[in-house]
Amino acid sequence: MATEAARRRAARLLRHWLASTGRRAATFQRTTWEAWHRGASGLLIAPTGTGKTLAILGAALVDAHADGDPRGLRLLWITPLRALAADTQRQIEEAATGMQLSWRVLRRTGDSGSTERARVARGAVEVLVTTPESLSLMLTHADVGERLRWLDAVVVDEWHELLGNKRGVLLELALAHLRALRPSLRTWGLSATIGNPQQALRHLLGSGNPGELIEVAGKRAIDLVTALPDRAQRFPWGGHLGLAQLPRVLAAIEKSRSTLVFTNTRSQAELWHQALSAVWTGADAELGIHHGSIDRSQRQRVEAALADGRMRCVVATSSLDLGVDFAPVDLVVQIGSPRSIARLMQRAGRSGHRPGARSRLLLVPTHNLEIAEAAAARVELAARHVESRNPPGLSLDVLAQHLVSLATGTGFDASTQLAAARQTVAFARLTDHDFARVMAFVTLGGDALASYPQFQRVVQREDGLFVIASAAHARLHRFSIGTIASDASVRLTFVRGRVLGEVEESFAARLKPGDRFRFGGRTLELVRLRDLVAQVRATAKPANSVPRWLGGRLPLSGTLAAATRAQLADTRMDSREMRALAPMLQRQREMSAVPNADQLLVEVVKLREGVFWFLYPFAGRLAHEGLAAVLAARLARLRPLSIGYAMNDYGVVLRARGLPTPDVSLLRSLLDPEGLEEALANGINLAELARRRFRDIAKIAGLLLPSRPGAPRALRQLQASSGLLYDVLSEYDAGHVLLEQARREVHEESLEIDRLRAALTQIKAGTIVLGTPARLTPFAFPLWAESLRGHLAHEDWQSRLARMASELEGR
Amino acid sequence: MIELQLEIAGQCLVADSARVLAWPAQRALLVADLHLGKAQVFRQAGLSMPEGSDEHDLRRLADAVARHSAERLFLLGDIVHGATTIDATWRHAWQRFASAHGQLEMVAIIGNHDRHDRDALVGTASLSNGFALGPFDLRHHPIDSGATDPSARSFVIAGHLHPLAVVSDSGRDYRLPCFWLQPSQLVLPAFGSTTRGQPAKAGPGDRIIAITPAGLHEVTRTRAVRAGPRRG
Repeated sequence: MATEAARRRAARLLRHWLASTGRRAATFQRTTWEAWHRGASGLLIAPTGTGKTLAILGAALVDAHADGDPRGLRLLWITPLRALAADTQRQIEEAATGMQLSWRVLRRTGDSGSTERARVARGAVEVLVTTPESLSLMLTHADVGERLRWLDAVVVDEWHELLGNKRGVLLELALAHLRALRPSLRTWGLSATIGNPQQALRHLLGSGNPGELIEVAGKRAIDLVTALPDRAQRFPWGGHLGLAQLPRVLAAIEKSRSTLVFTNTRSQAELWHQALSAVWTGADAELGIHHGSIDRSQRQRVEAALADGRMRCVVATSSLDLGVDFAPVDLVVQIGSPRSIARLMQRAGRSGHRPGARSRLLLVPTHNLEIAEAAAARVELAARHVESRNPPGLSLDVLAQHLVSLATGTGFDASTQLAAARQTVAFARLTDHDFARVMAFVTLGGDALASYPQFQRVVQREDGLFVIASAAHARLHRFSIGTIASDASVRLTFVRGRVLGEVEESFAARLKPGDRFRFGGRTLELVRLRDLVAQVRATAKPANSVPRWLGGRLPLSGTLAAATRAQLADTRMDSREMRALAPMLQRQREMSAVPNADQLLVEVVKLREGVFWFLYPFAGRLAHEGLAAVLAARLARLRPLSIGYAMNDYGVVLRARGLPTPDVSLLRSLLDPEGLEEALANGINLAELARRRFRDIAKIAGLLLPSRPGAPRALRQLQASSGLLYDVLSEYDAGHVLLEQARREVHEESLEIDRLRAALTQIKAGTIVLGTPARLTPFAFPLWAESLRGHLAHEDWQSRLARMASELEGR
Repeated sequence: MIELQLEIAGQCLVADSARVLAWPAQRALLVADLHLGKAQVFRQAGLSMPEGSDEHDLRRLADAVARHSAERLFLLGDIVHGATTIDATWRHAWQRFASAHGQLEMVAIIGNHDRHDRDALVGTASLSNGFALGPFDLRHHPIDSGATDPSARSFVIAGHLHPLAVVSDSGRDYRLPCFWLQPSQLVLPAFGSTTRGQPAKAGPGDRIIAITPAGLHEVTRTRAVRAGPRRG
């Protein structure tokens, strides 16, 4: 144990080192160091670029120096992004050198081999930088306790990125396990500003562990400008890509040193990159594209060029939301809705990294209501009204994966693990019954014992510990570990072999040799598709298809939706955006109405295709999908109807022949929050939603083995599609724990039932404004355009196919 | 059940939406890719695939045999999915099927999966690597489409590919098992209900006959359901 004198000497050295690099410790950094030295755990919330990393690292450095630079793995640094790991490693190495420590920093983002594990086990590594999945992999090796026997602290970087999804749940379980191995372990999290800091702290540290919450208010100014269409220019109403704004975007890029253009989807990124290339006057190498499907080495080249200022502009998706800072970037462009204040801040924060610089943000609305959204974003951004990151509900699939990991490693005792799971906040209320079901799943295959003869995965040894059934099962588990789900991917290569990236199998499967498509900023032609490799060649001919990726579409956040409503209802029109929108709102008012915050606007329009109901609850697209299902189910009780629906973030449209013309009292009864679950359960399409949801669950629980390139041949016999698994389970074991998980997630997440319930409760308390415009209103138009592609609420896919077929037959 | 008559090599064959092909004149029934025991292989590897699909498939097969009054059953390979334990439940189901159909002549063509468990079928079916039946060459692996295989002068009927028809509606794709009819061969849909598959890469002149819940439907290359079937 270090003496007080040694610690003071170390702290002095830290100050000197900082001073030698032109820095001095900020108040929050000193607060963090003090908390650390008391042995406390905690969460540090601060905007990017304020020195969060050093706040944590400084404390660990002082400790190590005061202890005489001891050997062995002391610090585990967990980052959600592999791309960040290298930068983190560099920062740690620099700081350690500055503190005259001979730390060896190891970076590990996959499974580690036995030599590397041995290195850690004999104390030849002091810091390990790794990902949550890689940490889980560490637990699958029996020597984990040996490797972690010196561990002092675990640091979770970008905790806000993990908190809201199952990767965070998996990490909570792993952290609980680390704390069980090393009771004196400190746990520290780093997070960007979020709406629920206390909850974030509790989830990080587990139940009953008090910790320090250190919050730093962001002071960095954000200049937000909205690209508005000319008065004369007719602005597209439907959900168009906003390419009409290209000249404005280009002008802004030309006036800046380096620009990041963010889009919401990868196909949009490809389209914007293509449009910019067509008008680009600079060198080709100064315009780049970056998204999750592009090969890692190419992405790294783009990142490196951004960092050293060789790139004038990069079109990107959320793949660049996180990551190392690019100092030269001085403008961020957001195409379309930013969907939440948190995301907007994150993206804005990617510019203006030089001292004293401001973040500059150009918002490019792609349809009318997004102009109001931009005005709302400005207000909320100024007030720093950042959304909460809500942890997912009970994730039994993740628990199953964790238990199999432990069985693969040292083996586990069931009652100890039940207690350990309950130490986490994610599983604090795990019932005995649910735990027993997860145990039955990993040991028997499911609770219906008779259904799974000769099942083998986790078995109970004579000493009572649960262990993996065989080395082959262990290999299979390690191969499938991780909770980030994606579609099976096809590797895209040039004929000569250079790898370009990956596209989803569902896209590749539609291509025929000779088909041309845009990818990574090039037009490519498919030469051949074999196994999971698509060989392509570059072509000068125009593309005839754009890859679609199935990335989930985020709904508009409650904060931003409410603020957008407030903007629309505010007649003062005190912003540029709202003044630009005034003619459209005037038209909306003349034809129908613009609702206040406590009003629900319903428009009933008779068109050639039938009667359309437009409702505008402003509750986000997911809750609107749930609302459509509820309305369809309740209407079907009145009379049999085949109802089509479509939704966006602002409203929902129902369409059917024979749809009645409603009065307010009928609408009130249809929109009653009472009996919501029941009405949802009657919407048959829940089964299809669950079927889609099941894909990720099956992957996490290890039922669906990844078919990624390079998979062992032995896996071929074990490949199944998630749809097939879902169908077989539904047919022969309908009560399976994972099917229930899928149904629960459909309610909680796919349909945001809580948000829907809140919206319906608000509608019940407020008034309904019913309009019957003769034509489509400006609010209605984007929904109507969407409905042309529409969905049918009341059919599962099989009856839908039967209907399609019979309709065609009748011709 | 819905059937579609096909004129091939001067013979009248019947595609049946139960994923079987019948040759009424010969009282023959052809099926491909049963993949019996697949659920068992999965369970042994620790993947929860419940019991029941093999029984179900053999019941479907028995129904098809009865419906077409078949006297000969040709199994075009991949009858067994992989190596399973000796007491695997599918073996009992298969034995029951075989003894209930004592009069049925069974020919099993060995597929790539069957090598894992060749013995499983001995005693219930005669084993073969390929079989000439009238103008037809029955085999597991199809010939390379496009290329003319000199070894196959006659019309080939094969399995192995598990062909799927991709049907789009409202921006969503549905994959359906299908009969894939090429100028010189017919690829049968996989029979086993636990099988997945690959989209059929249909060339010009090929016909794709998709099996929908409502019956057989010919699919054009634009991936839309267009033509209706003749009902049998």
